[in-house]
Amino acid sequence: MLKPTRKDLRNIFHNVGGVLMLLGLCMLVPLIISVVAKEWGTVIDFAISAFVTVGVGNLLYFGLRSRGRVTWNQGLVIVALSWFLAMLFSAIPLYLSGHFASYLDACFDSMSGLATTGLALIHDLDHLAYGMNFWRHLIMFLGGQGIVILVIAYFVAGSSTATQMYTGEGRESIMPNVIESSRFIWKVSVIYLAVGTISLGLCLLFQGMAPVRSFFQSSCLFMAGFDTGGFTPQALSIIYYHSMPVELITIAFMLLGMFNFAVQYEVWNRRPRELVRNIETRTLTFTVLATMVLVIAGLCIVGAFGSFEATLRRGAYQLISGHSGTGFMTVYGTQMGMRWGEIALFGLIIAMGLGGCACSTSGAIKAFRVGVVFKWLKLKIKQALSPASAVVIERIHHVKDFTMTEGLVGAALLTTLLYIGLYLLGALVGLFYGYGFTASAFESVSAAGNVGMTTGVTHYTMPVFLKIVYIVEMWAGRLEILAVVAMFAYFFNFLRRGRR
Amino acid sequence: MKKIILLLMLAVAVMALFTVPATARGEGTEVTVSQLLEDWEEYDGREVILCGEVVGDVMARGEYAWITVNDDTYSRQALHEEGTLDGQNSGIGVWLPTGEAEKIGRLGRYGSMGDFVEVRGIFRADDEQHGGDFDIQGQSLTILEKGRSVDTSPDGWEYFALGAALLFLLVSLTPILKRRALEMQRAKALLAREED
Repeated sequence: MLKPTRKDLRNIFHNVGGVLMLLGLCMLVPLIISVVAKEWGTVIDFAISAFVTVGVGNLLYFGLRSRGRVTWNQGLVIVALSWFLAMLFSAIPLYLSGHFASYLDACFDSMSGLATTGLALIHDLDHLAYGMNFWRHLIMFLGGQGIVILVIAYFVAGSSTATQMYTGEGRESIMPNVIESSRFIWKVSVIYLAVGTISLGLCLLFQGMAPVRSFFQSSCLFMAGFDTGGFTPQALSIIYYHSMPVELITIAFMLLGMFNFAVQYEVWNRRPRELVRNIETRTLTFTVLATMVLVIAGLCIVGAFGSFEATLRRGAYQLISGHSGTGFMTVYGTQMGMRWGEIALFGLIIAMGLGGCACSTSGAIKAFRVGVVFKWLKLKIKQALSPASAVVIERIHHVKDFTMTEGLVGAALLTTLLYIGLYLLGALVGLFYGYGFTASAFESVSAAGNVGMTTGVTHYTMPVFLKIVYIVEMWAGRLEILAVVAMFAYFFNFLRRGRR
Repeated sequence: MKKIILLLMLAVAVMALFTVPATARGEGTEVTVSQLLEDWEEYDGREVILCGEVVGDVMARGEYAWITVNDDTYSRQALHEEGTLDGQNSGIGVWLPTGEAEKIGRLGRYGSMGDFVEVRGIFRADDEQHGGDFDIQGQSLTILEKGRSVDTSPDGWEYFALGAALLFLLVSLTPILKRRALEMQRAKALLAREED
């Protein structure tokens, strides 16, 4: 590994400063909402946070001048470090709101938001200010669409720097130019935001909610649903609305969020056949159906619900929410832990662990890798049954056709194994603290897969170390592990060899 | 006279019966949301009484309306008024006649403590009418304590922190101003050289 120099660090912190400045400016949106809602205490909380965040961003961005291009490993470090610092600074207004027992708890929710997880330690959510509630959902939108991508889309001048930062966030390029790709993602997201907010807002209006509340809550729910985050404006999650239409609309948000943006780009460009041919959509269809059968069968066996209609409605919603990595719930966590039985929970754990598509807002292993591993197994079986002299190849279709290579399989297997390792690590820590196996595994997969469902382990009284483990799991899981590992290795290497 | 006294006593007794909480009359069991979640089998289909704060919205749907009743710590002591942090909210949806829901004057939100109510109804751990919902099919609602506004105005130290943060922001602009000054100097020098 190359020895990092002071110049390299200046380059890294300069770019991280840009991300922080943008984050600070984003705080002005909830600040304006607070002014409109006359929540003066919250206005001050956001003003303090914005001044500090923009100030630190200024110092880093303008104080440390960037010299030279950003390399591949610097790109990874910039992304991982940006996310970590974004967590620290996004947590400032949350902590100032007085709804958190400690700054660590505020950081937990902040990372949960940015990483689009949805696990929460907030106290008394039902009395939270509008501005603060909006901030919780906005950080999900920023994290889900990739705050680094936003910087690339509108602030990064050099395409080389942009490419390194873009891939560091675990994204694939939709267009030949990553800046164009980033702009496409943001344009589509803003259009979806407008359409989603209006449609759900009208639905809530017809469901008996007051107009202002309807559109406020619909914008929050869209940001959390489309970005597969899972925060909700009320403590009861989606249970609060007691509405089938709301459930159907939020399912549509979650499905949009879990599909690959590259596939959506093809559909937008009038090539809908891509949906049918793509390896990811095929894999996803299979895994969703398989895990749904498992969940529904598990619920039927234990008789969790009196009718099949209720079993299907509750089971399917939780399954799609878990598989997409959202975490919206139409049942209580405690109820799920006590009444759903081991088979249904096992099905949900598998679904959460697999996740949605690559280049989407979902976390976890992702359908592309699962598809590649399946294809590889098929190839190996074919090879075993063919004559020794035969050349057996396997082709996959993802936007275009290509032959499966050892490199592709290796990368897919490595990331899959890293995720499984991360899931096991979190589960092990949970077990050491005395939580049951199913509960520990469920919570760990939920955190590392950026899902946000809980059976009750995530609570403000849980051990501090377990909170830190879940924060790391959310962070690493969102960035597909590699960027976080690279960041630690980079700084370790810098310190070990001494400054130059 | 004896008859009048007897009638008066009877009237007082009847009035007392209506002022005594329903629990004392033995109609339904007073429960908490935690009890319903943990011992749902015991209470499923039984008449229960839940006391708590009405939060969020009243969502009227025809002859009935949905409300949410929280019975957590914050339903009795507002967090912003020296309340203690005691975890997440604990609430349940109540489906009750719109006429009953119309009694609600104030809802619990930021800066507001909602009406503290007593709800009587049948608890359903798997409400078939609402696709397997976990709720109370409310029959009546009594306001025990009217809601009120909560003081959320900023503390003195927050203004001080705001001033300090603003000062920090201005200080952080120094590198930009320095760079601008340097660029201006260079431009002037270049201009002067060109003029020479």
